[in-house]
Order: sequence, then structure tokens, then C-alpha cells
Amino acid sequence: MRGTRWILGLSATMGLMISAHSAELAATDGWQAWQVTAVENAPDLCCYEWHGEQPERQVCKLDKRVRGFSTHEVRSSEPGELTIYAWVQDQQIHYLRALSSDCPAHSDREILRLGPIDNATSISLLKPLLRRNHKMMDHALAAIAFHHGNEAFRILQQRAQAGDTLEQKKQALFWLAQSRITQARDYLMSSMRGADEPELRKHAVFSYSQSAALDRDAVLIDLVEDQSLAHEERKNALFWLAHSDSSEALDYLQAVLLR
Amino acid sequence: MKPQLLRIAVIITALFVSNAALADRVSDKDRLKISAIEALMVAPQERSLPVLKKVMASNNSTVVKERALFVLGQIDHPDALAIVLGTARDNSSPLQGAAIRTIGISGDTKAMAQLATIFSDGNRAAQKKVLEAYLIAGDANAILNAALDTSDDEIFDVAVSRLGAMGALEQLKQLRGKTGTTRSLIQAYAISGDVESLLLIARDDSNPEQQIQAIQSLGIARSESDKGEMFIRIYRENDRMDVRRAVMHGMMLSGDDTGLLTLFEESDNEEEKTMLLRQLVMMDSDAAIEAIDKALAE
Repeated sequence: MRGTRWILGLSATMGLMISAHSAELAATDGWQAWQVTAVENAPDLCCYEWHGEQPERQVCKLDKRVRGFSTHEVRSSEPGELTIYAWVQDQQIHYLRALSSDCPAHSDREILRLGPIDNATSISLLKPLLRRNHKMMDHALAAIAFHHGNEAFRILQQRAQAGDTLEQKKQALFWLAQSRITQARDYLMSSMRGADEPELRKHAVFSYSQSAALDRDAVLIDLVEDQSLAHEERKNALFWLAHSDSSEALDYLQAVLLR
Repeated sequence: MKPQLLRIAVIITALFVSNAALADRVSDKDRLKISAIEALMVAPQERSLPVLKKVMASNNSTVVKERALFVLGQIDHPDALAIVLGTARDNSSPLQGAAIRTIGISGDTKAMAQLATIFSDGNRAAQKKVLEAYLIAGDANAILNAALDTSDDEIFDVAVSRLGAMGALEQLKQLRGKTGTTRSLIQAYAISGDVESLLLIARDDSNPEQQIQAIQSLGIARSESDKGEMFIRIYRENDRMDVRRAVMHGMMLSGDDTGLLTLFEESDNEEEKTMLLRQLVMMDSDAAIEAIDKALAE
């Protein structure tokens, strides 16, 4: 590897000051965790138990290796902190979870806590995973998405445009919408109508409908009303509109039916 | 197929087929409305039910209301049930058939119990829809009762064919015990694979027409039993040419070229041998060549 080589995790207490173009994980097998600055308005990334409509935070059990993670409510508009938990063997990441730093996490094994590192270094560790298998790609995209800064946005947008597979493009759209809808709004809006692949256009609509955008129902209604779109595309917008719990969405569906 | 699986298959098929059919006969406006109704299927019922009620009370087209009825049938709420049942009971409603079918798809016990009354009070179209609903719900006993109650031959035949499609052997046997053999029953035995019942009729010469139909039906009845042996036995037991022709036909339908070759070899009647050979040729069977070679050697 060319350039400065930084070994993460030499000591968690040292507090790593890494700003290199490349980095390596500690040579210790097992869990390694590091903190980065989270994107503004990041939702609470944690594990929940639902009591009716009310979610209750739980300790995330890292060893369970679940796919994906839960998010709940948008928190402070100030950038928070994100902890990346990586299961490492032979200095390669084999499993990954990104959680809000104040989300309790547990493993039966020791977690090597590396402390805070800068976002660019963290992203350089995660980016190679985008070319691994589908599962790792999904985890890595999600983790990168919640990193603060333009680099994360740029990677997601690039993957949404020119990902290796359709699935990767779809995941990138989804995580763009989940992590930074204000920044990604224009891109998602243009993807809804302009993406080459119909499946991608459809997924852009879905992603927007699942985002925290304040105008998501209005955007979906615009799509439904747009007679230049194919019926299937308008139908897709209706479908996601029906998932909305807003009265605006329901009123609109009723208005369509009683016209 | 288990009733639950059948119901799921019917729901999926209903959506798929009707969507394909709708594309041709529905205005763009109604297509959008139908999409809106389908979208409501994913909404919580406390949100979708009030909207669907309004749709049913509106001036919307029949095709839009049909879809609304379908979605109402999937909602577990007394108000939804009341609308579906009310429509199913209304002999003058253009939506009656759709409502009855919806009940069958939903499989709702309370609604299903009402179908017997709808059957007895309904016209022929409604009765056929009730039988279809029973079929969808997998309720063979209800079809049996309907067949026993009706005095309409057409409805009886529909009921019997539904039982055949369901493979309801027990109900078909009960029906025969009470009504005697009918043409539709023989068809149903064939469809349901009831070789035992077919064989009884095939060996009973009191009604030659039914006997012939039963023999031919043996050829298409799905069965694990050795039908070849049955055919040969019937053939040997009967001198009547119409019976023998029916056996040949049945053997051809079941692909039994070995049996036909056996009969060819046994026969010393030229006309009969010619007919057997013709059946083998029609089956494109290698046994035909074998038979020809044997005939040449004689």
C-alpha cells in the first residue's frame, strides 16, 4: 500500500489523529469500533423493541449479526456521533454495524475501541467493502451514508448513478434518502423521472416516501397527477402514498376516488 | 390444494387477471381509481374503511366498486362485512356476483354461513356464483347440500362439476347415492379420479349410454390403479361392439398401447383387429409396427 499507512487501534486511549488517504485495521481479530461525526439530522440508529406504537431502545447484540438496523425519529440538527462496529479477521472486515454512539451495544467478546477517527479515514476503510458481496455492500453503504460530510454524499450519489449492480444503485438511493434527504432531494427527484432503469425510478419514489422529507406526500401526489408518466409509475406513487400516515395522503386518496 | 392455499392463489390470480383484463376495458380515470383502491389495501383498516364505504355509496362505475368490494372483503370489520353481505343478497345489484365471490375469497365464517340463504333466494346467476364461492373456500359439503337442494338441472350439473374439480370423492359418492347416476356425475368422477365409481358404472349395462361414457371417462381419470387390467377385463366381459369401442377409446386416451396390443393379439375378428390397429396407429405407438409384423407372420 502506497502513502502513509496508519494502523488504527494502536491504542484506544491515544485518540487517533488519522487523516491519511488509506488506513489499516488493527491486526487483532474480533470486534473493532471507532467513532466518526454523523451527518446532521441523523436518526437514532439503534435497536428497538416495540410496545404498540412506542419503540423502546434495547442493547444491540452485535453477535447476532442481524442485517440492517432500525432507525427512529430525527434527532438534533447538530452533527452527532456515529460508532462503527466492525468484525475483523485477518485485517478484513467481515461484518459491520453503524450505530448512534450513545446506543448501547454488547458482544460476548471484547470490543477493541479505537476512539474517534476522522470521517475520511473511516470512509477509506469502508469503501472497499462496496465491491464485496451484496450483504457487505449493503452494510457499507448504510454505514457510509451516515458519515458527516460531502465525501459520503459523493460516494452514495456516484453509486446510485454508476453502481456495479442495479441492487447497489437502489441501495445507494435508499440510503441517500435515509441519511441526508435535504442534500439528496434534487438528485432523488430527478431519479424518479429520469433514471434510465424503470426499477430505479420506482425505487427512487419508494426511497423518497420512506425519507424524513417534509414534502414527501406532496411529491408523491405530484407523481400521481402527472399524466405524462406511465400508469404503472403513477400507481407506484399511489401505493406508497397509501403507506403514509398523514391525513393529507388519505384525503388525497379519497378525493381521487370520489372525483 | 389446501383451501387456504387455494384462497391465496385466487386472490393473487384475481388481482393479476383482473389487472390484465382491466387494461382494455377501463378508462384512465377508473384505472387510477382502481390503483388507489389497491393501494388502500396496505393502509390500516381504520383509514381505508371510511374511504371504501364512501366509494360504495358513490356514483363510481361498477368496475371501481367491484374492486372496492374485493378490498372490503379482506377487512375484518363488521361494517365491511355488512356492505359485502348486503350487496351479495341484492338480486338486482350488478355487483351481486362480485360480492358473493368476495365472500368465498375472504372465507369469513359468518359470511360463508349466509351463502346458503343467498343460494336459496337467488336467481340462477347468483346460485352459480355461490357455488364458485364455495369452491374457492374449499367447502365441499356446502356444494353437496346445494346440489341436493336444487331442482334446477343446470345448477345441479355446475355443483357436480365443482365437486369434481375439488376431488371431493366422498361428497360425489353421497350425491350418487341420493340422486342416481347422471352425466355430470360421471364427468366429475373422471375429473376427480374416482376410478372405483367409474368402474361400477362401466360394468353396469342397465344404462348403455352411461356405461359407454363411464368406460371412456376411465381413460382420462387420473389414478394410481392399473387401469389397463380394468379395461381388458371389461373388454373380455362384453360382446357388445359399442362397449368394446369405448374400451379401445379409453385405452387410447390413457395411452395404454400395451393393453391394446394384447387385445389385438387375442382377437380373431378381422374388423376388431383393424380397429385395434387403427387405435395403435393413432397413438403413434411402436406397438402398431409390432402388431403389423405379427399379422404378417400369421
